[in-house]
Amino acid sequence: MDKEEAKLILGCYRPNGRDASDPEMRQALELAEHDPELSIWFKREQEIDSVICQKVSECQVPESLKTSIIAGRKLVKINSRFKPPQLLAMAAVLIALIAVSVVIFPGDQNPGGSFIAQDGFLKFRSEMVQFVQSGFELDVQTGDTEELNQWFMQHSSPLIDSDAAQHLAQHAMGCKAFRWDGKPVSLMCYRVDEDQVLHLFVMDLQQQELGGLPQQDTKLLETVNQRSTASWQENGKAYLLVAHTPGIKVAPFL
Amino acid sequence: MELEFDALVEMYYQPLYRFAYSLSKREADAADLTQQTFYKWATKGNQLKDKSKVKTWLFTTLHREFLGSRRRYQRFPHHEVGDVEHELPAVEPGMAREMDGGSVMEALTEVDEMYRGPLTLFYLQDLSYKEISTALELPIGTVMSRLSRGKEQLRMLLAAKAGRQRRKVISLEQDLEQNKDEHHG
Repeated sequence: MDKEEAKLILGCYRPNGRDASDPEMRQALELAEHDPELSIWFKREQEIDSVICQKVSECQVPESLKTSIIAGRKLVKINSRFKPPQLLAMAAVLIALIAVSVVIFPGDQNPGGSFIAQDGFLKFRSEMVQFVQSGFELDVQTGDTEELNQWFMQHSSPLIDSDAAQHLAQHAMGCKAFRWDGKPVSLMCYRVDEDQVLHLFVMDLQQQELGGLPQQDTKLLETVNQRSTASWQENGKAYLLVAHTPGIKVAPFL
Repeated sequence: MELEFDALVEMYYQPLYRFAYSLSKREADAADLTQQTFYKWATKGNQLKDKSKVKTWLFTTLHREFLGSRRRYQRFPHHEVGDVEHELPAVEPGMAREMDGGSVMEALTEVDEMYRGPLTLFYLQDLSYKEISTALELPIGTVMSRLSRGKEQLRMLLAAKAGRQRRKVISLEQDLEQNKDEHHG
């Protein structure tokens, strides 16, 4: 290391001494110890830098900034609760009534005698409807689909790649990534009208077989637990669209 | 998570604001950039696997936000300090000590933009030159040379400011003296 190189490195030495352990810096400092001219130069450099550091640290920061940042995060409402209480209570009553009716009239609900179909996709659909009814937390609440897709990618969750659901993107309001039966599921929520919310569940079919899923180019429209649903497969993924509120039909949105 | 975020704000909002101010030259823009940086952390910070790199991540994000906003809205004026370079005396430590923080910060904002980022991060003392290189996405050698040239520019600007301040004081004293003479006369 020559003197000019040492000067360049020593010029990066912070006056608070935090760079003392840096190997290149140590070498330059050693050189300065044996070179009076370099030593004087470094001492003066540090003296000026130290004053400037002090002056920069005196730069006033707006008093309200910290409060604004913290308040701003609360407004972001990550993990915000998405659980309308009345709907939740109604759903609980409804589930209890249906459960009782299954016990009394098992044949009316399902030939197999089980309320939750054990058959792949039907089981998934049934559980996702229950999931919607019981309320859940959104991981991210934003209308920015790019941000929502990034969230899915970060969590190795499938991206929505459906022409049928493409026009819903403009209504995006938030998302959630989770696992069902050990498999990643993406959930995108859309506010299509002031009081109308739809939930789109997506699962990758490459990772599993889902019995009961409609054939390609077929959309299965069915009401499950008073929730209008639509199921289909597209580009190697299974899609399930569920209306949040009873009485809202999903068909017009496809 | 909430506590972690608050603690992070507490630790870094001031240096981030000062860095933002040196880049944007406006208090309101600096506050926006700082807020936007923490917003990004709140929404995307979990992408960062190595939590020891939070500090560098915050400065990198702020710098990118600044570059992005500048591309969107305006180009900042370029200051040609080189034109007056030969006329300026070198700054003395005592001269800098006499100046107030606001004047030093103002001089820092007048340094050429390419030197301003590394220079401000250096004077904030939160990042080492190697971390500055990561934060600004520049090679280490470039950071070193920009620091060296940036310091030169800043010192010349400080010397010029100190000179102007001194001339103002002298001129004020002369005025007072003249008034006193006229009054007595």
